Amino acid sequence: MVGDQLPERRFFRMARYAMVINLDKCIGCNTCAVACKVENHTGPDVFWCSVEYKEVGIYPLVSLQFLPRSCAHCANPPCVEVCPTGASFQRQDGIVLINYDKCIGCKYCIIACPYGSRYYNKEIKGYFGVELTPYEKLGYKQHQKGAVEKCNFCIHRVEKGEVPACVEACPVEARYFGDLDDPSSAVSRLLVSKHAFQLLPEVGASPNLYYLRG
Amino acid sequence: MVSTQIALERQRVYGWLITIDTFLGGTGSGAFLISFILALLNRNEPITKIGTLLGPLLVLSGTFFLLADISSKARVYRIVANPLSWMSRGTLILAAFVIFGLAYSLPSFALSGWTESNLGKGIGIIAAIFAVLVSVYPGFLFGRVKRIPFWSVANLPLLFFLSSCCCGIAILLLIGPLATSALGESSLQQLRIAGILLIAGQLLVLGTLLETARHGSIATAESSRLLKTPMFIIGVIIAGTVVPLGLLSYSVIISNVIITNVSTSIASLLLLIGGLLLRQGIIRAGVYLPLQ
Repeated sequence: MVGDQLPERRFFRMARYAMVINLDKCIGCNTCAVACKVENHTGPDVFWCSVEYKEVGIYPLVSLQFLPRSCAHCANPPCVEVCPTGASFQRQDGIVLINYDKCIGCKYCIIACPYGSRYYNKEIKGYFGVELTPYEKLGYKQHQKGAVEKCNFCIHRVEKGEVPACVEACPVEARYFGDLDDPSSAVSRLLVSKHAFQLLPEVGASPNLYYLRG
Repeated sequence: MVSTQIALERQRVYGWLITIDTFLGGTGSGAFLISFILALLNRNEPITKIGTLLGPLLVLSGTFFLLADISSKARVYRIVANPLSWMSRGTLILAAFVIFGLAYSLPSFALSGWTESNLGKGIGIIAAIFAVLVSVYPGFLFGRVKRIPFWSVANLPLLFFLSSCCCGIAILLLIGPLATSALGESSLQQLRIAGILLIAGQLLVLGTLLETARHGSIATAESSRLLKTPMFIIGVIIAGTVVPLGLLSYSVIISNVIITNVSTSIASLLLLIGGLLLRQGIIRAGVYLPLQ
């Protein structure tokens, strides 16, 4: 899978997918956020992938730090534990998905998510007025009004051996995606060799979204 | 495109619908519990029958507000599918309380001696246990959200329990004097004294919660700051807790029945308003841990 795994190994073990983002490379261009929207046809108020910025330093020595955010597909996902209907579930490869047909829209998972990665699809609305464009009509079929949704690591691409759209689109190659159980994968090598950290480790979710800095 | 400056953010998912649901659930469970205890003490005045009936009905009415907050009502039967989720557990607890509560209460209107019978008492005890669970489970539901440290505290379920008992006593004291023979004077005095103790306990736990939050993390300090609104300070602390405490204490020592009943009724009304605003304040003050 994703260029790091020999084809025959897929039949003998399940992968453990993770994403690593090098914050030293990230320039905050939001290409990943746009690529995600194009790939997954998300609505105007829904951002499966987003970038936050923070000013650090004191004038005149001020700089911006960027933090790309998306679902962390945690090893201990609080969203799966709190979901009363079982709509949120985790695959064996670690990817956390939502079965929209089971979701009742209680929004407990939105509050429980430590990273604010979930969105409630209150209504289907387009970017260009009340009438949906043909492109939106086609793409919005993937979503369901009244359900909660989030990044799914572009599971439709991963199952074809591709990387998520945000990883492919990043112009500075700040994002890496791969199998943590494969020691030769880029994510495994990066996590061993460089200083990596997770957001909010104290909440105990064990996110599979790592950041590199310094 | 979203490029936002990172700042402390409070939760905006849960609002008045969940507030009213937890308030009605707490008041109903408290009313049942207090009435059942009175009945066990062989105080079988009509108010105990009314209280044990009112409890499950209030909890049931609260669930309509919970349902209003759920978007896919056709699939709501799935809400009990995950026993690990406090929302599933809470739904089962609410359902069990309503069933056992009504099973205890309804026969008492038709069958004489029902509440003294072993079967009646047995069902009542089960209903009372579920009443306690109904009053505390919102604390566990909110406490499971580790991203909001203000909610993830051990004394939140206790605060909800004490508030539920206070609101339960309040509604009984409100109804009691309206039907003058419904609650004997000695029972009214017992309820007032119990109310005083519970209000004092609630004040202590609330004070501990707020003080701990003030000196805690940046998120809990912000939660504490968000509670410093006129609605909370005046509505919950002053009018909803301190004034009823004073009025009930005054009612206990004074002998004039009319003044006692009036001050008790005012205290009860303020307690109920305070209970509602307490829940609204706690839900509104849920501030997320910053990511950076």
